[in-house]
Amino acid sequence: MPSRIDAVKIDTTEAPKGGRTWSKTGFLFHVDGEPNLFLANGSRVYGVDAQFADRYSALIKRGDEAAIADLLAVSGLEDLVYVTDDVPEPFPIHAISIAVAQKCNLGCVYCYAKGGAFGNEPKNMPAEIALKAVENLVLGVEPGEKVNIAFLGGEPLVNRPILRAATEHALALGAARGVKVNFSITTNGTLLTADDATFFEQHGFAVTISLDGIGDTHDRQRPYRNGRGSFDTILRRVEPLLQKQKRMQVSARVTVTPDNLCLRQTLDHFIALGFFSVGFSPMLSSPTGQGEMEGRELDVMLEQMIDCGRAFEAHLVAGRRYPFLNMLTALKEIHKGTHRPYPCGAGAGYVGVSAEGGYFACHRFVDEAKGAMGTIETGVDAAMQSKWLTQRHVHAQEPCASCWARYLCGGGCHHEVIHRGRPACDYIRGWLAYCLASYVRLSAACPHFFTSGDAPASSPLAELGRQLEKAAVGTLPAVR
Amino acid sequence: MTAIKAKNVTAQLHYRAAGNAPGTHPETAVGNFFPGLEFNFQNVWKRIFIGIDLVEYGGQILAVHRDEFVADGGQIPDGFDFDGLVNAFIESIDGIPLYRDVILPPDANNPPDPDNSSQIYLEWSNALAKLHATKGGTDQTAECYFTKAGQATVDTRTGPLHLKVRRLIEPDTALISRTTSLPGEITESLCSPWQTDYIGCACYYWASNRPDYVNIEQVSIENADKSTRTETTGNNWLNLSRVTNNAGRPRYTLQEENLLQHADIMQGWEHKLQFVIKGRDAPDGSTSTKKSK
Repeated sequence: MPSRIDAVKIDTTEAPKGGRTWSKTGFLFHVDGEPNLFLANGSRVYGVDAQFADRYSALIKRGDEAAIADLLAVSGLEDLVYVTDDVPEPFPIHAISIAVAQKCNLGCVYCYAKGGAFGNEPKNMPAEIALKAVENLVLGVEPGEKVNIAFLGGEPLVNRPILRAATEHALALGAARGVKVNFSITTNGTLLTADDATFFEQHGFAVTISLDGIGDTHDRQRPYRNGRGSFDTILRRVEPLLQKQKRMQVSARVTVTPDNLCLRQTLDHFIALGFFSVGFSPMLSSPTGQGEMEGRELDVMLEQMIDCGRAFEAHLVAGRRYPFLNMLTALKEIHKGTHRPYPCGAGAGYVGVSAEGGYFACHRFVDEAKGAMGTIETGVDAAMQSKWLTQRHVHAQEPCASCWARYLCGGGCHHEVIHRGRPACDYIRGWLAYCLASYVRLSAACPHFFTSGDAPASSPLAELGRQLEKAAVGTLPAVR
Repeated sequence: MTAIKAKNVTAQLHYRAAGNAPGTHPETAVGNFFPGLEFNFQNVWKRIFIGIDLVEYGGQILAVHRDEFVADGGQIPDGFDFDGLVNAFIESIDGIPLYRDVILPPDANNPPDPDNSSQIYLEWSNALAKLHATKGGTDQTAECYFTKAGQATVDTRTGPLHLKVRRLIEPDTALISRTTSLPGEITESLCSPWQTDYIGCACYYWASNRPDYVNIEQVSIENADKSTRTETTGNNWLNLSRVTNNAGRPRYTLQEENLLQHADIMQGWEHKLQFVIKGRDAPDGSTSTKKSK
């Protein structure tokens, strides 16, 4: 079985034996023997000296949060509150996903949409609903602003005519109103045509192809409904897009289960094929429980992710392209010091539209009462939205309130948490610990990567920096 | 002291060094009030003389305190209008003139001319430093002359009046005296940093930067004898009217009557400043003076 990989030693946290290196205030970590401190409030990263590190460690062992606060204050690091309990005031939706087809031609083992139909009758979205959803979005923001439209399903290309009609309607409305519209699609890739490649390139789509591994590994997880493998078909159909991408970005998304834990091999293979970026996401909640990751498998995944991260670092230092999306996203967010009370924009600036015209917190909550947010006719329901944002605030989550990573993680994917809980906190903290150490290393070794404007435009570092910027496009989930 | 290095952006934005930056300490600051912003050192000079209150810039007398002056042994010469000093200006102290004549830069239309001059008031932190150091807190007096008009001319000169000098800094310390500055006084004017501080120090004190004088070009000017000389032209944001040289380019001026003053900027900047686009005044062609009318 290819999933069991020799452990990659996690040497970045250097946790003292039997002790924790973190409290809810922050996380102490070492890079090349030098102590560094991540503070949860403001997601701030500092280099500190050994004396501070010793005192901080001692206070963490004692669990003395008041003394930790005093130590931070006298060191000029007072622990200001950056994220309050307040729920955001209502503001216009700036991103939607459109479930143009609640049906799918694949039978993936773990599908949150239960085969694409979300547990209901398979259906296509009628044109009038797609057009109305687009109008609500574009007319709901001010001229000069940007909006994002993501086509999802099921498999969105099952309903290609409506996808294209909605795209063209959005462009026409946006042009008239002075609103920039960005498009993305997440597809299984089996139905892509050369004409799709032209259309997506013309409109600068961010195209995400779901690919769970190489050959058989992918086929075991993402077969056609009759059990036949889909990998070869997908690669054949994606090829024209990979060749054509200039404005368009064609990325691969890998859902990681216990059966496809060869991350590094998968990453290298897809990068070599020419994907714009490649990202991994652990399967934490499936309707049948099939494919869900447990503790030991998440440990292996973390080792694999760090192995990929090490490869990323080596490539970056050498000035070579290596678009490992999780790493690009994490470094960008850590550099900025992103601190947020939610894991993503779901139910806030972003909602999903179902085939029947319902608004839901995101694409995963389609047709699910727990995530209902109104309809395209009545608009986003302010009471439902407020209740959602109040309940989903990271301060209202446990054990998040006492976790140093709470404002980078945001509490974890709402859909996964509501349906399964939080089985992956150690994985998320471990990954972020590695990314923090990597950030400290890379910000010293490759400062231009984080300030791409300073590098010559033609340099590999500038190109990678631009890629870092593009990693923010769309509705990416939290750092994980 | 813990050695802290802020690494990411939020850490850099948050980090504040302990204590005030060296440039804001009285003993090391080169400006009166900028960039420290903790206090306006101009205000500290207000009570340097026993019996009168002054504005440091311009030396204008705000108030007189006859009882205080006499009680401290002060002598009012016969016929001297002590109470009438309010709104007058100090013209000289111990023979040191507080004004200096400045002959303005010539151009082809205005050759060097001693009559084409303006008077610049010297800053007390320069002009009176020695006086404060030698006579501050002693019984020695300083011989002062005054002028009513704000211009040092023989016609309006009055005096002398002999004034005792206070010590503005507490002995053997760098502390501003608690007796010469009342609570709240040293922070007066700090509500308007870009009007007060920017003009006071960025434009005039640290003049090497000259952020107020922009779009500078060197132009060649032909003299009457057909020889040429080089002159700079540019836009001074405080120009009240657009003074130009014979090439039609804006000419830098120090003449106070051509410049907006602190009061103009404080009270009416919206009407008196205008946009300069690509080195030209805003396309409507209106000048500051026209707008202010």
